[in-house]
Amino acid sequence: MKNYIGTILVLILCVFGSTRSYSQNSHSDDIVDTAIDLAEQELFDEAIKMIEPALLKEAKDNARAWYVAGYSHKEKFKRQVYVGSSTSGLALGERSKAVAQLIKAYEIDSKTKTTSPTISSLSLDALDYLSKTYMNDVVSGVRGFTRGMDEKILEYFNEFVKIRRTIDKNEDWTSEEVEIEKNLARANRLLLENTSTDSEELFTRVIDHYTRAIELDANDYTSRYNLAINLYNRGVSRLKSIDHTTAMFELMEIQDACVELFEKALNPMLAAHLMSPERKETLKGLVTIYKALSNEDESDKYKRALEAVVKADSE
Amino acid sequence: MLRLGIRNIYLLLFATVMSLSFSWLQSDQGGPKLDEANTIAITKASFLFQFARSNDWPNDKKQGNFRIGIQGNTALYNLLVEKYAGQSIGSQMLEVVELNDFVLKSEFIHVLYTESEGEELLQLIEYTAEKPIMVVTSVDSDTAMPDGAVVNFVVQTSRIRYELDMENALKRGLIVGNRILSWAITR
Repeated sequence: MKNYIGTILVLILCVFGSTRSYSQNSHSDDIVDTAIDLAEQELFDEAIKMIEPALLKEAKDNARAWYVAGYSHKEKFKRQVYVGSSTSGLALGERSKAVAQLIKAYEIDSKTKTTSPTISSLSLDALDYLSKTYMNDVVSGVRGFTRGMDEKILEYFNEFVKIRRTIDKNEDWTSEEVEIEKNLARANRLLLENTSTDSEELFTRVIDHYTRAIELDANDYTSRYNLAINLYNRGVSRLKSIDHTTAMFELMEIQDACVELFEKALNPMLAAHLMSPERKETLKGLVTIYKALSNEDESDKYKRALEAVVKADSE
Repeated sequence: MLRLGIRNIYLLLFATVMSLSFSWLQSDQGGPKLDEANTIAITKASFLFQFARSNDWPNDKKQGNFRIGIQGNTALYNLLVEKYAGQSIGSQMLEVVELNDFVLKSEFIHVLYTESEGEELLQLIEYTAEKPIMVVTSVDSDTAMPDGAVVNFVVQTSRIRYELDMENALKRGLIVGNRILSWAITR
């Protein structure tokens, strides 16, 4: 099916190319036509070798030329995916070239309007496909998350957004970005929980991802609640690390650090509570945080509120 | 026509895959769970262990088990048992006991933690007076340190700290370690 679609696209280009006036850029068109022939025979390396030097000179404003180059890189990317993965170095290189060239083809074509809208349409179709591959990489990156993959995953997402905005500049992907940040926070937290040695770096990443999610959407309850819980739990985890080998000065230092974390947890938990005042988890969180801060009055206040909610639920 | 058909199928597939991807991302499964450990009890347990380790008792109390007795705080008792029971204090093995009248009368307690207040506390202090028992109290921060107590937990800027009555310690024959002395606060 893929080859069939490719052949159709190349044929469309051939037909389209044959109707063009040879008075303009005839040399450039010759090169493009030859490249199309090569691409049609699935000789993508050769097609690229033919067309890319021309993109720097005579074909630099030729939408067809950019499309053929981009299309060839896209097909090479697909081959790389078939033999390996979409995130191998070679595949990434092919994909990123394909995206750049297809965007260029689309931009030239939509600006000049001297050619058929086919180039724009074909470029957008190809970009659509490539954007999907980026999003798939985001999802599989989060699913099979390993330490330090955060930047790469966000890079894939940024590429995805860049392409989607080319396709439709009104598309808004903020809520998806928020979800990705939250998923990355969770992935780092799971690593942190399962690592035998403590890692401040992983904890910092958890906090940074939730903070970013809140920056993107100030009304996201989960980000605030989860941020508060992670900060609070980190403090508890530090306290739990105290044992018979802990010296007195270390005990004091750990306690200071814990109280700082508990204090930091308070604001996001209060903000989450304001968003959803009847939510039991948040009320319980406030009871616990205030208790850890030895603020019995506030802890009791939220405890009473929690009891009222539980009572109302049971009636 | 064929191309349009293919394109529609492709767009449908794309939309389905994207929708599945996003719904997976948005599922937010396995969020963090609030750790409900009793942080105050953990902190107090750590201090009590430090008191046991860093002070000195008369020689005749350095035999048998070293006992920390807890009155009125089961969570603290459980934490101490879980984390510190069996550890050595000098040549003694640490034993944690939940305090009641019978235990108090039948066993020597080295460190006695109580959350009693008022008359009950007065009676306890009277009973233990001039014995080498480190009586540790935990009264409201607004209340003064109870007479007869050696150590009292207080809350200062959300932190648990302790105040120390050196005179009482000396009266009871306890030698307070430098580390314990240096971290004590005054109000």
